[in-house]
Amino acid sequence: MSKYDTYNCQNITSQEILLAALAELGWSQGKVEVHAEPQTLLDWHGKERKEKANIIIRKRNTGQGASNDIGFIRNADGTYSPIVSEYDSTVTHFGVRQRGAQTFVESIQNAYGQIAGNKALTTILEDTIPRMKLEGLVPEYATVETVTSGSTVSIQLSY
Amino acid sequence: MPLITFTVDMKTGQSQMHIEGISGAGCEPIHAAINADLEKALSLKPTTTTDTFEHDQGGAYAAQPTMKAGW
Repeated sequence: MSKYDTYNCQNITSQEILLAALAELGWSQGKVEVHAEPQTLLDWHGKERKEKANIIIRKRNTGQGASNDIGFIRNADGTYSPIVSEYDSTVTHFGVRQRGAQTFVESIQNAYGQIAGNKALTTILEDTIPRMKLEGLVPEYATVETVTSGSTVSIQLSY
Repeated sequence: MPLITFTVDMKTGQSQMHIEGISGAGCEPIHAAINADLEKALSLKPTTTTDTFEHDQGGAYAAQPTMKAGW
């Protein structure tokens, strides 16, 4: 029996973006269960474990024959924590490990971070700044510049 | 010259905002507008907010007012 670990990922806050990150890594719709109430995870024998999750990749969909179910539990503060067996934290799933030898949790966090980062930038540029100009919070003539430095992207609004 | 800088770490998805040159009362609606949109789009809640006006002595405003916030 493989031990399950629950990981603390404070940056995973959106179910929509988490599902998009899973899809990017190979778990598209139909391979992922989404439950309002947490459901029991099953081990590689099909035996029920004490761990429960709201978002579940059943072992038949992980891409590994000997895998256990993989889950994400929604916490009281709105964040999602991955629940992954020791086995699944290290093996290859749909080629995840080939992309820079990341663990499952690292792969999810990176995919989530990139999608969330892009969405935050799009939201600020396309929604927030035009609305702030419309509402007079910043002047209409304020200029916007986007600056990239390493892995960070900055939007600079000046007037 | 007022400058509002919104920075995103594309590895973690975490965001920061830095407002310079706007008085405390002027910062709050800008912070609130960004906060509301990030919560709606990303279910993000603010993790930190600091305003130099909170640290002023004797009611005087800082020479270069700033506000920082993180999500």
